[in-house]
Amino acid sequence: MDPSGNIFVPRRTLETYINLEPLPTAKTDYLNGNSVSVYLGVHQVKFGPIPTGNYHSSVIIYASHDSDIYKENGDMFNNSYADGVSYATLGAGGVFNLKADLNRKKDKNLNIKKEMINLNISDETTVGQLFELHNNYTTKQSSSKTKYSYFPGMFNDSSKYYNSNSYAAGLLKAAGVENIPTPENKAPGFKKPLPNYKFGIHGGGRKR
Amino acid sequence: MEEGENAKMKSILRKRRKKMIYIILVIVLILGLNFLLNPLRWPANQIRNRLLNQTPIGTSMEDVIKVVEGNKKWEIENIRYDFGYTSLEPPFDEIGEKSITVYLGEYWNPLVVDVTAWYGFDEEGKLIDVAVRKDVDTL
Repeated sequence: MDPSGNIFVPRRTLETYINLEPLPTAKTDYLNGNSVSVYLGVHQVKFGPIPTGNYHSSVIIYASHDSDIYKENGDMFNNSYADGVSYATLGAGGVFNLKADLNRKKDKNLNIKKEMINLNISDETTVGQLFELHNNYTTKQSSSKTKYSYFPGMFNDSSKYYNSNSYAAGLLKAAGVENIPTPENKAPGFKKPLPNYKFGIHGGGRKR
Repeated sequence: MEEGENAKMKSILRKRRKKMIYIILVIVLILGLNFLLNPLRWPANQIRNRLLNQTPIGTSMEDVIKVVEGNKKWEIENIRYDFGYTSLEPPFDEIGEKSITVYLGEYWNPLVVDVTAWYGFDEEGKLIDVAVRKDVDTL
């Protein structure tokens, strides 16, 4: 028993000897003491009830309710995670064109995530930039459409077609995130990021 | 005698075949009706209009919650007394001072399509707008 009165049972012991399902863990502290943090969430896409073996990635941003970005944009952080912590997701999908949205249903469902990759972003400026770049894309997506393909480049001209993984990788790249880790699971399109101009960045600097 | 039995057998088989065809037709009809009558398959703006018919502009937050809770297929994801919801259209302004996020359900197309509604309220908790979005879960 620990000092606070909780009963402490070594987890490995229980799983090994009693052969139980893995014990539910306490909620992960994604903020790690920071006011914000950014992760790449990865989940498997299904055709109806059938898993496809292909994975979708989206950007998940956690913010403390004390952070400036939460105070100013709390409406975007529409998903509560823990006491004083909420999160927002930036992701895309498509049928004919690539459409990005804030807080897409499956993007914000943390229970289906196969991977949560820490992108080691803890400054509010970069987070603000991610939202701004996402808004740049979504503002133009109706007039300047991006062609969508489930497998960019497999059945079509690879230079014109993108998917949700291209979106997540492109968004991070446009925000200047370096050494973007690739998901371990099969995420077609991730290595073909959406170009910077799709997020309103032209040439060397941001378009104002 | 044998011919008579054959004819009888053929007649039974014919009847069974007819029965099977009727059963298949009924199943197809039920599936077709289910497809056509599932309101989640309607365009997002039509779903929004239906929600506004149930809870018109000016409805109190408490009454909206009661209506939503009355529908067993819906799920309240979030009730916020400190923020509205983000508009689905540029410039993505905040709509209202309070909000409720409601998951209306999913259907297969064959990809999974999720349907979500956002209700925005003013400071007094009166409904000012509703937004509906469909998210296709795809790569």
